[in-house]
Amino acid sequence: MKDALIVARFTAIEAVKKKSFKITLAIILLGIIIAFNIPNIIKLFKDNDSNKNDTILVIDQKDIYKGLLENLNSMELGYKFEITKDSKTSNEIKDLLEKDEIEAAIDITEETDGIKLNYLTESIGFGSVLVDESIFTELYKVVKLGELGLSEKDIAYVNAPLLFEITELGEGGSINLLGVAMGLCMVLFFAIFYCANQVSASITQEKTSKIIDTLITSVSPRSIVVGKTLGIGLVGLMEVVAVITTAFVSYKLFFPKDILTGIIDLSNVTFGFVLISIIYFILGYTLYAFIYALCGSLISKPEDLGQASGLISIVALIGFYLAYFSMMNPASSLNKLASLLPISSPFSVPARFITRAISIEILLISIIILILSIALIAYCAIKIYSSAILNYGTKVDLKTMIEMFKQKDN
Amino acid sequence: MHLVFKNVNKTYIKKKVVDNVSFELTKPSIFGLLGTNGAGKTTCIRMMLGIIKKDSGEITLDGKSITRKDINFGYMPEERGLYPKITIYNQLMFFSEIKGINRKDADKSIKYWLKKLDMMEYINMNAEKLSKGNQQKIQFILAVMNEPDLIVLDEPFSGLDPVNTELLKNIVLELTKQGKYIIMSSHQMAQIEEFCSDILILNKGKCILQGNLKEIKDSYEANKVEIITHENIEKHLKELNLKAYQNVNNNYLINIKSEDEGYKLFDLLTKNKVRITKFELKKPSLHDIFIEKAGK
Repeated sequence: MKDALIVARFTAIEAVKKKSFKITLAIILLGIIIAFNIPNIIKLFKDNDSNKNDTILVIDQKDIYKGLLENLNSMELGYKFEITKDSKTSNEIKDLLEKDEIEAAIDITEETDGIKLNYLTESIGFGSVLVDESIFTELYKVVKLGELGLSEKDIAYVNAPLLFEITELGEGGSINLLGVAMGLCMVLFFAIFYCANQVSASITQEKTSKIIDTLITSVSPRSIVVGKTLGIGLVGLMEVVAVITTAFVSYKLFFPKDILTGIIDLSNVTFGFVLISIIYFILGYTLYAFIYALCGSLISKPEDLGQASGLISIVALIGFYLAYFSMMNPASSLNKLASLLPISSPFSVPARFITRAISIEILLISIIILILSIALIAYCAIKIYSSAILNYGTKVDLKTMIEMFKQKDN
Repeated sequence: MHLVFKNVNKTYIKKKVVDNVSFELTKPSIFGLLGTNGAGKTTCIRMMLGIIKKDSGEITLDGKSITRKDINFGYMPEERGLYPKITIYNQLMFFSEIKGINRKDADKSIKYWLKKLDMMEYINMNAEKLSKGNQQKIQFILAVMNEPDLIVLDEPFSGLDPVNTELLKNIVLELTKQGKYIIMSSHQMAQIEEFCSDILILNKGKCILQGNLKEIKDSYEANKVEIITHENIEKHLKELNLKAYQNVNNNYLINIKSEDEGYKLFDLLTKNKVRITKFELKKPSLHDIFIEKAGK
């Protein structure tokens, strides 16, 4: 174990010293800071556009709305509404738009088949309609109900929205933490895809570089495989911690608090959820790191690495989507499978735990299966690594692999 | 130290790579382990160092079965390799640590060996920036810096310039004087003849020749004659049905079937008053013996 730790420390330190590591991590962290600042950047652009007129001209020549359109200015829609009964030609409106005196114009006319709102804007594109037409529909309803002789109180009663409530009859859990669980799934997938995958690169590189002959005489194959996986794993976890810390600090410092209200509620985080998340994150990450180590042990040429790693990414993707499916469909019978299958349980179980959709028995069985899978894959990785280094340069096909398992040494 | 390798066998994926091989190291010296490519030398070394397990036979150190931990060894493999992007100091320190040397002693040892091999200026340089010869010297340091009792050197001088070859040769001899057991594997037979007292030749996993090098060579009769004269002796060679396989300015190399045939030739030349500058009955070199044994 001491040797494995020395290999792990050496691997981790040398991986961190690499320029590629520093640059990639810096780009990722910068990306996170920028992402959390997007609302501020949008706001900044809006503020810079303050000299731009935010007036919307509303033309109601026949006073169809009976003066009710003035209410638009009290609705805090983000625009100033200039109500007029004066007729304007298209050219006059175009002129106002070009001079930036108005943002848009709405011409209200009465047609034979109803009221027509003609929205006039400089150009049509995504987001060019600044006001929801339903506001005008609602206001028009008020006008019409008034004409029918209803009092303001009656009109308010008619327009009142229906009360809608969801009641969960099961034990229930913190549904607001599903967003957190989803976030953790993504972080785990990122860690697997970006960090754990470096284990196979590191093992293949060492196998194909001639250093392996010196290394193998100094330390056992088990210490090399475990040490490499631990070392790269540690670097990966450091990256994940750096990503989460940066995201958390950026959220606290820069992100407008009202945007995620109702989506993510950290006040419901329990010790159990944190513990289960950490356990599954570490076990899941370790499982995939050893799968990558196995892949690195099997490969004899670095050029084959991309293809083999791609296959593992597909496996991780299947695990991720199985978990995603179980989050979206809590009643599905696939959920139990997702919680027990080692490739998907690290993604699935934390989410099922917070919605209390998993029993303690299944939770324990899931952890045991995951640990046994890690041990089995680590054993295979070490066995194949040990045999393959005696055989490097030659292709390791399925038949050779079976023969390698039969070897009694190493 | 008494290292015994007795009737050792190893099969790897249905191929017998070591077949009933035996040898022993009883005193500090340089032992030559020879063989063609794929003869089983590296497998023997790995089994001897406890890296892989034997299928059968005995490998003992001072009477006890060998395990990886029991033997303090240094190994310079034929396949040279260093971490290209890591400084010389850091990789030497890493290997020292996994060999169980504490950082303080390792630091001392690294600096001692770098100075001894005139490599101190490269201490903080990445390995990829070193010449092939200098990388080889670092590999040599890796093999000796933990003060091992047994040192295995696989082609230690290949690729080195004459100055560095001489430097390394002197260090190898110095190590033997210090009581180290050295196993040297090389395809350069002249180097084996220069260094080794005992040899073992492997071919396809089997031992085809082993013993004291001098005794082996003495057991062979001379099989060629070297003659330097002032005149052409072709007609005399024809009389004895001999033919020179090399003749440069009356410097002849002639194959003979026995030493008697050589003496007959000498008698004939003196009888015909041929002026001879040199006449030498030559025994087969290790190179010839190797070709004869392993080339079959």
